[in-house]
Amino acid sequence: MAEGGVSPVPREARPYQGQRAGVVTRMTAAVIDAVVVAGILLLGYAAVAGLRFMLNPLTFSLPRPSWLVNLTLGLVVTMCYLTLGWAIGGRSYGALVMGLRVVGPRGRRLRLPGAFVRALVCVLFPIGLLWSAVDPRNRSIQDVLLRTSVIYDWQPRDVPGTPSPSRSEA
Amino acid sequence: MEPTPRREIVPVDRVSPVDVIAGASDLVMEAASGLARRAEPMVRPAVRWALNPPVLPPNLRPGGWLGALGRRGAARRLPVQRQVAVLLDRLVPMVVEEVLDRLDLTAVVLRRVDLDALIRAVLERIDLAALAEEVVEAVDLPEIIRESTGSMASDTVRGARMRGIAADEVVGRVRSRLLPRLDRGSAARTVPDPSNGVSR
Repeated sequence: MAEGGVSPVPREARPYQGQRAGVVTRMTAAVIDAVVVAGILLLGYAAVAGLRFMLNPLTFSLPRPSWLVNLTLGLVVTMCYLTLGWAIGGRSYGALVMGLRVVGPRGRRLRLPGAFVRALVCVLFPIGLLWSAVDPRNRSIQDVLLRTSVIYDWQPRDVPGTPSPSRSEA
Repeated sequence: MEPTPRREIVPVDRVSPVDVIAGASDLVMEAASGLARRAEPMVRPAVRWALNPPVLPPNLRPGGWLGALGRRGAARRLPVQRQVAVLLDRLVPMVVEEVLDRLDLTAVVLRRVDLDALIRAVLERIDLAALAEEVVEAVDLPEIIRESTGSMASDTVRGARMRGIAADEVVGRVRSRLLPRLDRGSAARTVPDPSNGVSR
């Protein structure tokens, strides 16, 4: 419950607020994020194709970028998406849907450099997320390296210290 | 200091005899109390001597008798007081009940009590915000609002989140069964607290 106020979080979820999230919730959020990034890439592809069509309709053909370009674009878009999400709201869209929040070593929202480095590690070593299934404190490799945490936080607002006082791990 | 009231000249035919008698009694009482106040320092030693004259043996002195009488009175007064209290405890509720039966108390209160002042005083004593919060919490107003206005989408999200948490717990249990050593080693399974920056 939010301090000194009525909590909008449902009662059954309140005991979990502020605890580190487990692998299933985090994987689900990651899958949602992957879908969002794929959507952004598809939109970009459609925009480029449309632009090419408008510029040269007679010799138009669908762009066929090389796998290197595809990979680079995918990594860059994912990096930007995650960095901005974590630095601005403390969560990506997937984390918002699953009620998660990424916090720094002091439990506060990541700053832009911190978010960037975390996004870089996540993009380069996505499988590190699976370590949260093994780690007793539900930390992924990224969390261990950068001392970050992903917590359950259903509060819509980004208030430091909003999660419930019971912060012990489930 | 209060200003002295201006002396008004009242015609004789409008003076009430009762007022005259009251005025005369007041004058006499005032004079008597003034006299007593002045005479007291002189009279007190004389009275003390008269009550306990040294010429008489102690058992014949009037002061001793008065003391004994006082003690006797005090001893008697306490049980009587208790009896009267018991009697009043029985009598007063009956009397008040009878009186209230014959009174329209609501009308009396409405006529005689300054309800605005009363409510103001009551409100001053109550922390309305805390009370409202308590009530909202007790009836779980956020839940009612969610139920009455919530869309299918928000219900789905909530369900997905709760299922995710449940699945996380299952994973945690399996992990602690398969890797008990790892789990035992993590005594401080905590999340940093943003308020003080210290791990709890």
